[in-house]
Amino acid sequence: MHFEDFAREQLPGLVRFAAVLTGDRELAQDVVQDALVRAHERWRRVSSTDRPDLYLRKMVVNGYLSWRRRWYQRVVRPTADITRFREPQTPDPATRVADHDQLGQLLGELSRAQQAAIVLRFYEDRDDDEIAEVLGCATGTVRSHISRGLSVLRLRINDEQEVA
Amino acid sequence: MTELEDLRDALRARESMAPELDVVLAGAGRRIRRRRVAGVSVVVAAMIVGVTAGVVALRQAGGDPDRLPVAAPVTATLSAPVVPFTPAGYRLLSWTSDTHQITAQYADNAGRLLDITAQDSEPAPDPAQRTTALDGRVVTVSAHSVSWLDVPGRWITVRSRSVSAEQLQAVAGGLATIPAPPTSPLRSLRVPPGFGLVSWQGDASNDVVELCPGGQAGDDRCVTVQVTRTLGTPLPPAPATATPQTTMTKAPPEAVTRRPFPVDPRESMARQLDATHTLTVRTAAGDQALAVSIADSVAVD
Repeated sequence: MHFEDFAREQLPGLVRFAAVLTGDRELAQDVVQDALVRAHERWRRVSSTDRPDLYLRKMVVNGYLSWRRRWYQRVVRPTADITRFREPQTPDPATRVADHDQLGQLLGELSRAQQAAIVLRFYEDRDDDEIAEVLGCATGTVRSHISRGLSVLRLRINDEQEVA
Repeated sequence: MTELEDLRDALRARESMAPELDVVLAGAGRRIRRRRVAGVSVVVAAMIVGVTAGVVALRQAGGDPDRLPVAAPVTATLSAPVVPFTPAGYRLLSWTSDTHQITAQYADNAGRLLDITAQDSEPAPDPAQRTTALDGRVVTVSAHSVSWLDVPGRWITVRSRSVSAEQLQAVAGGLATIPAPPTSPLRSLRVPPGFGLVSWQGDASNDVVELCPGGQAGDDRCVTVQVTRTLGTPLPPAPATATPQTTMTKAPPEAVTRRPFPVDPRESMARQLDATHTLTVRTAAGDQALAVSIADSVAVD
């Protein structure tokens, strides 16, 4: 298979995966482009692997794990009064969207490795072996990432509900 | 709807942030063409927070990607990750470190949790944050976190949803940046030449480090070294009328047990360090002899 055909075939799923992993359109674009460039450089090796799709995801995840915010990417936002978080919340028709945003924000507070493991498990439904191959770690470490990540999410969601 | 279904829903909702396929493909194509023309060589420096070993790798783009990058001589001994903060009244539960940050989780006697991160890049901004002064520092405060620039190149963030904003600021204000190296059997591990530390995480029952050629993650030759602490549980007494099939026996732990090639093809070897510590070394495509030498260098204090 030629690299161009492989890239076109893999791209839709890869781009969605990167968006879900990073939660940021520009960063998703960066890490996917990096992964495609590297896959092109190593096409001989990539094309000979059993699971080139996992190889690509591995490069996307590595790109995300090693991503560092560059100075020109800092965004200055207006400050706001934090006391508004203590005000009682009234029911909102957009609650479902807000919950998704909240969960997305909580996800961003996990370590990147935990985020990657959770996205691979609960968005792509990968098993332990596949996740271990993408993350380059042992299956025990995969289970540890997922277990810790979910524990932290649960604790933080419960804390938010208590505060509310 | 269950919490896991909620999580799946929330993840799927992020698909809306996917960039345009044509834009991604066009950008990748331009970069591939530029690389072909320029033949750029890339110098990659790895920085490891809180660990003394450092690796500099020189890599030629367009060359043989299978060739091990030339690396500067590395410190042979692996230093324990230094958790650079000590919050009063909290005990360390777990830590995770990689090339850019170290995060530690703490708990107090009431079970309140605290996360503290030291990282080499500015934390992502929060729409609700504000800047204020706290004990002589300029800090960025939001509902559940306090961040500040500790020294040039190191930002510290204290996070908790278990305590009030005032308590959080009190913890941050009184935080002593005193290194607290967690105990770890992996301190004795000797890093092979050409390899660098990529990540290290630990808690009460596990210590895991990942070593990779040139300190670059994602290489099949990376080696994962894990020490698991098992809590001793006494075996139940054999029933009086036990048959041979129901009698439980336990073989005494061997001082050195090496299993040859395993059920999990990524597992290179396992070794019983003592009655409660088990060492496992794994590598997908790395050198088996290397895995054995790494394992032999680990000892429990």
